[in-house]
Amino acid sequence: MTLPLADATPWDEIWELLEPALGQTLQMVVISTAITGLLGLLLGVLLHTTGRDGLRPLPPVNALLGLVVGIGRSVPFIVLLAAIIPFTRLVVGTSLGTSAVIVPLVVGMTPFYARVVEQALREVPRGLVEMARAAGASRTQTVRKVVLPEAAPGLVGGLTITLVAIVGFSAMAGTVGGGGLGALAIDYGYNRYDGNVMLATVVLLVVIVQLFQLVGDLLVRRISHR
Amino acid sequence: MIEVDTLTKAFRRNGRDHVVLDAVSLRVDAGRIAGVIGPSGAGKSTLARCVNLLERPTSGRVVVGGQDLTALRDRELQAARRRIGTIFQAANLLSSRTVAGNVSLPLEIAGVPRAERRTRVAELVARVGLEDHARTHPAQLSGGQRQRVGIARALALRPDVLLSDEATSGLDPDTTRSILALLRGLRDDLGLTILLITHEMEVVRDVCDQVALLRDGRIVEQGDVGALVTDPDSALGRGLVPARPVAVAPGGGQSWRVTYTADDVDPAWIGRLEHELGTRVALLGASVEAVDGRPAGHVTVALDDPTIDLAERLRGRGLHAARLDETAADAPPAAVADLVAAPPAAGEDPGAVAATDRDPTGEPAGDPAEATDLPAAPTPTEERA
Repeated sequence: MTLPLADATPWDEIWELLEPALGQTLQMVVISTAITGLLGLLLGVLLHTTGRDGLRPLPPVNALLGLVVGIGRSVPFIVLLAAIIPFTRLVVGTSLGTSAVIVPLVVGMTPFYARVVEQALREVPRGLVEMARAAGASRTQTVRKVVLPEAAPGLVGGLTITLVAIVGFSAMAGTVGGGGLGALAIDYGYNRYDGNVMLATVVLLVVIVQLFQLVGDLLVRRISHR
Repeated sequence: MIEVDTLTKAFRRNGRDHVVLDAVSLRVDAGRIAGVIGPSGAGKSTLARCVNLLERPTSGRVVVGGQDLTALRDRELQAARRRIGTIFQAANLLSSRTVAGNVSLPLEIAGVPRAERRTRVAELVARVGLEDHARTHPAQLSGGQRQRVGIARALALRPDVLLSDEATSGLDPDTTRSILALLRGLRDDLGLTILLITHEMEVVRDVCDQVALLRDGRIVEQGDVGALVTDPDSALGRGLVPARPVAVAPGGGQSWRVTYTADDVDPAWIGRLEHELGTRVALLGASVEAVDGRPAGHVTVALDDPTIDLAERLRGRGLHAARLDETAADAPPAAVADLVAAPPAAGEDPGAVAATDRDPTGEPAGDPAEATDLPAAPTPTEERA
């Protein structure tokens, strides 16, 4: 038996459904990406500088950071979402709603971006670091004035990838009442067989991802002078 | 002034110590240009990196401008390094900054105020002839231009000492010459002391006042360039003005190899000799180059009359003559041949050499034909006879 799609939301009413969901998704994605970007950058720089060929090799610290990052990356997001509820409550005061999703998104994606950052920093030619040291730069100056600016295209490109991944993970926000486009698609499109909503959210998600990617690529091209 | 005193550097690898520099001592007085030449893997780059303490020596001292760098702590060392300008083979420019931005970097590191930075950068960019490219990014520059930016950057903090690690390697001969002329001009104008690490004999001949030959981590010979080229027994001197193939003597004449042993040789000596001896002097080959603006090198001539003792005749004129069959001049002198080939010493881990004498451009550093001046290479020879 095929179910008729008679109950599908008419097209002219769909935007009323989409608008708040889009707002929630953007809120989750933008805030999480911003915080992930900062924390991941910090962690990535630490991973790189304490590494074997880094500016300040500290094997025990590096191993510990590597372990933390590894654990963070091996827990599936849906599990993480539930597993860190006490922590989420501690940070934002609630385990439900949009802001409650931001915490696990940041916790889940920071290790990922940290590895991306580490990789981008590794691509900076060693000769540049030597040059800075020979010019009398301190380690901090070397990172700030040479390593980070030279890695900037990779850092921005990697942040775009992270952002797109966060858009994907934010779809699971529905499980803790976080709303957003993913939740809308499941609630209406899947549970209520509302094909119109399903189609509209999918199209909107595709458009959002494309836009972010486009902006990211433009930025990379803008700052890259290789 | 640069003073390197019994510098030793050993790297530990796979539980074994590899001695890369073995009791190297070297002294460059203020305002002089010193070359360190040697084959790939001899430890040249490690020596350069030890002079500004990018690599900490295992033992020995490095004194620059009266300050013992090996005794300094991290922070003092950073300050000391600002008085040493360093030029690298790959120029090592930041791709994210313009020419002006790259030159400005050491000034920013040293905390020079913005306004002062701007005037100093403009001055430096003009000094190296790149005023039209101040806002260009390095990716748009040629190799020679990139190296000029590197030199301007090295000069930013008005150093007394310039350290150049293979700065002209990988540049074409014309560009090399213009970079060397720039360095010489800087020495003359600013009184810089320059230490040039190179594998090109021509670089030494063109700009260096003194030179040291480094092989397997040891200095095998060193001295003033002028003195070395006039010393018939010096391997380094013969390397500076290498022997080239000579023609066969016509009609059973006796071939002689004549070496310039003084810096005041009469440039017209062949004509005079012919006149005095009343015999034909045939020119079979010559390797005469200007060193310090004076001719130096050697010439192969043939005399029709085999009874004439040319050695005797030329004594006191700053020329040393030897019968060619005695000197076997057709073959390059042994030491130079070593310098050209120089395989890693037996038992030495080639990986250790690659790691210490690193080539940042990723070009194979081991190709002897490219890496060293082959004595028989068809380089232009100035004949002054």
